[in-house]
Amino acid sequence: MRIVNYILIKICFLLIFIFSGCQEDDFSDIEDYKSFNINSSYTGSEYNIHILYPENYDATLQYHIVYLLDADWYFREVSEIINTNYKNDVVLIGIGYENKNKRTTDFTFPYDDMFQNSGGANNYIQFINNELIPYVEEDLSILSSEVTLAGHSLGGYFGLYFMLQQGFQNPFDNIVSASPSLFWNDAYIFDLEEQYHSNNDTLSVKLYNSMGGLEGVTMNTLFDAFNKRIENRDYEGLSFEYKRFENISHNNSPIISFENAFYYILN
Amino acid sequence: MNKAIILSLLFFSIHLPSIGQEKNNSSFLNNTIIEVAITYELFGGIGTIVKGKKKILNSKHFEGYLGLSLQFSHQSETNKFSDGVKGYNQDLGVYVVSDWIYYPFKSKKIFIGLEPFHGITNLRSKGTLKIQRYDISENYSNSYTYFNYGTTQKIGYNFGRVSTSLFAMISSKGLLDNGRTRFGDSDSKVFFGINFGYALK
Repeated sequence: MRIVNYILIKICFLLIFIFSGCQEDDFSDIEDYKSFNINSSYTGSEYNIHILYPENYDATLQYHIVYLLDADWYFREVSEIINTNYKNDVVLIGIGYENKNKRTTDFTFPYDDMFQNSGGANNYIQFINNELIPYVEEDLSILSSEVTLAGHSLGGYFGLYFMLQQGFQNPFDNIVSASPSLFWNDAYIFDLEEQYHSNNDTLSVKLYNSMGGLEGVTMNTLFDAFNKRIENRDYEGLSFEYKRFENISHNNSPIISFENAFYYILN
Repeated sequence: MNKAIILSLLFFSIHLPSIGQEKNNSSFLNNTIIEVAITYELFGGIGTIVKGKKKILNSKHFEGYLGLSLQFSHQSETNKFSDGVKGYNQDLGVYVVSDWIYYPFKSKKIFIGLEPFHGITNLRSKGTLKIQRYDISENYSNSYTYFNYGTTQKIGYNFGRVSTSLFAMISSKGLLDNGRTRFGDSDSKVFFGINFGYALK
């Protein structure tokens, strides 16, 4: 009996540790919230789309639309940021997964043999451009004045990839890249930027880049190198800000990054 | 906030039985155990922990210890995520520990234990990046010292004065410091390892 009691106490400790770390994915208690599912013929995945409408939403008005990646993890906290500071101005659209999370497939290019099923970013771009955004604008009739893409980690990398690739249209006026995984495929993003620069003098985007000071040598040195490279290009049309958050770890960086990024972009 | 208060009270209440113990007039080495552990970090990195603990509780099925722990871990980042990177992260920690052991059998051979710890950790990162094809050269260094706390959970076996156990040392910093919950992050690390203990007398 005593060993059973001890095991139960141990399990309680573990549950406190483990379940306090789980992020809920039911946002139905958020005011002005709606969700729907969309199947993509490009990626073969089913996405759970979460929408936070502005207070007193008027379908005849244009709003700043923020598309948030990894919505399963961040939608609630980002909703709090929007509701606190931009309640009347922003429609927040979070992209989550209905079934298995496939961010390593959707957010990355090129394929990396260390990560099975990686390299599907081009399909994900086509899902966003040809299925999600048209559904939002035409079926839901949400009118946009400006459009922002926000992502963290591999999601941050995807935002930069989307911005610099030249195969598909980039519909985003603003890119928020929090703690981007610039190391992907031996820092391929630098090759991509080189290709972009060889064909373009303009980059008409407002870009916000951020990193946590505790994210290690690889993440921070690549962050510094990428920021310097972009700055030195002097692209026409580019507004660029970057920030390192001291004593902030990788999983602690997304919300503080998004909060600062929205202030830069929306003010 | 309520969660923070409850967990803080739990952690510190576990150390309370160590206060007000009867003074032991015999040799300091009596009822003292020293331990050495080899650790492996959840996301890569190897290290060691050295502990000295004094027994403060001894009953048929339970033992309690109070002591100090010194922990070190080294994680290389050289070409780990990207070519051209040379660098590392290191943890150095000093903690107060209380160790609560349960022996399910009278022989006191097999045991399971819970060992809360709290103290100071210094996290240091240092390294360089070189991407020659783009003439890129960057340096980075950072040092961060913080209050750290959590528990070590273990299961082991006694061979007379020698004991060995497998353990998981889990920082709870990501639960209580107003940041997002982040199990195994750089400032709330998880270490697994094997521990060897020796009872001095």
